Amino acid sequence: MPARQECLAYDMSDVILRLEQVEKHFGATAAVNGVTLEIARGEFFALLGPSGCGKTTLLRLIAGFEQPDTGRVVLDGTDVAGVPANERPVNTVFQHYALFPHLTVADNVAFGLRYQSKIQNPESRIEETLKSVRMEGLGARKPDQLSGGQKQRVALARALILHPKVLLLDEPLAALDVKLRKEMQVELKALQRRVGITFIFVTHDQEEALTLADRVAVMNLGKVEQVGATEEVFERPRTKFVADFMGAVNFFDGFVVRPEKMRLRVTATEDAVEGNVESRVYQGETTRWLVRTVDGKLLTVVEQNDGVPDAVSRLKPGDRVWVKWEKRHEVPLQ
Amino acid sequence: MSPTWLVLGLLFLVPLVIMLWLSFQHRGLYGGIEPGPTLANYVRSFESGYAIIYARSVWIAVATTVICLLVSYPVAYYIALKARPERKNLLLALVVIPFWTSFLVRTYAWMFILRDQGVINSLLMSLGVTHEPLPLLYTPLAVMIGQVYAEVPFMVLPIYASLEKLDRSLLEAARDLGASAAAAFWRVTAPLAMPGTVAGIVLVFIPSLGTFITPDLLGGAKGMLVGNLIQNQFGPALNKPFGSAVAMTLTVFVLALLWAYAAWARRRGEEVVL
Repeated sequence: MPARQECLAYDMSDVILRLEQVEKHFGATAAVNGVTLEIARGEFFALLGPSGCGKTTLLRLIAGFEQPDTGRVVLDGTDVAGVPANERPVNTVFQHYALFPHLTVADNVAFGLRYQSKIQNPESRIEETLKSVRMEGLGARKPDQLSGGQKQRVALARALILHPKVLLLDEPLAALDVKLRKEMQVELKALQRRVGITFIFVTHDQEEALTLADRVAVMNLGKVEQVGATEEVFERPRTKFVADFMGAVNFFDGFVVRPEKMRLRVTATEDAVEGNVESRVYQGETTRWLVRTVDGKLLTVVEQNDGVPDAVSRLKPGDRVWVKWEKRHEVPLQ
Repeated sequence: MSPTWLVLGLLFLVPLVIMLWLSFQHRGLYGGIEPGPTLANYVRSFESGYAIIYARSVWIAVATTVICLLVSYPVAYYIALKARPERKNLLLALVVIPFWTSFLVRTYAWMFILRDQGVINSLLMSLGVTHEPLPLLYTPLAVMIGQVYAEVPFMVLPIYASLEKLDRSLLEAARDLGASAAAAFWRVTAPLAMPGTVAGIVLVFIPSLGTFITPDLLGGAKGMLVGNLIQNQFGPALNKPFGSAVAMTLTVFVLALLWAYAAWARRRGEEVVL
């Protein structure tokens, strides 16, 4: 599968960014509480977690907007302690883009160039960069004349023109509507592959993390709960928090089963759990069933809709059902 | 007619028309008026004897505005961007509270500070720094001090309002792209706070150009400004038509300055904030 090979386009022995026991407190609260991470050159890495989990603070520590209380941030072999944001070879795409409203698109993109040593032919480099984000010919516009997606592209161009060692993206797609977000996901992924720059992005949206990233760190209460390849974290969550955050909501004693791994039966089945349909939610491609088992537990089952009415699709709330899953789909939790 | 037009008409337009009409009349006996029309008042207002008064007025207004800007910008910047949020209202109140006292009382207070036996001179002499009082009161410096003191809040508040609206992430973006703190200020903060800065400059420059109480009390007889000239015509000199002509000339001069600024700003593609 070519997709998998692409995911291995980076080499974990070539570390571009290493965080060692990084801590950051605001007053009495620990925003980042002992985070250790290694990110490889060329990787697309996601920091995933609910709001307040410390992911944005971690990004700001890497950018240099905050300094860690303890621990080290090592960028391409250099400890960047005390190095201010403007001297770090790292650039950021801000959540609401933070385009300079008084400057044209071209001047926004050119903003950081004068702080770089000797740029040959800046004009063509600006035009080239605008082209790489499909914004060619729009250099004379002001930010308030741009759509959300275009602003996003300018913010990317403004950072990428400086060839940072790491590009940080703070909820890069959160301000876009759903359809545009899906398009930008594809585009962002392709762009990252093309420029080969390490991307680290922060998101609270697990689907976005899975779609974009090679690897993901799931954060909770200032700590990394689990880090690994997206597929691994999705399929083999190690803690209850990660399992829950990844949408695996059927918790049992010591293990969890994802809703789409469960099947409904209308007749008594061996090794199946008996219960009653509590509700059904039609979701287009799938239908989400809530089943109350005979011992009072609520299970979520997601069935594919194949468009052929059968006994299962005709089930109504109150009907008796049997929920069945395979032993190999039980994921043990710590 | 809407109330807005009624108020503006009665309070601004009618007096302006009366003054315009007065400026074309002859001076009568004992402050009266003889019917014109005549251009004599305007011709006289451009006589070389008055040039020094106009020049001094413009110089003091420009200096006051520049000093106000230099004093106010750091204050506004600190309150808007550096002070803790719960402190902001207190700091703004501290800027404004002195102005709850009468302008006249505050100007007299400066006389007590600046005069030969005043606070500054007594202190300097008792410390042995000087042996005779420095001439502070009745100088252009005294006028400028009094004027700056009176106008600072009109500079602080609009600049504060502009800076307060500034999106902080723009400053972080500038730093992130490689700008030093100073470069971020000149390339992002200052241009974006320009509307408030221009408003502050206009609000300080125009009253300073027409001021007459401050030069009267702190400037002494030699320091006459155009404001005093106009005041004298309506008072002791008993020459309302000439006073009106000087006032109209001043008004046209100010409008010309504002127009020139607006044209310049528009040519640079900036938002015109007047």
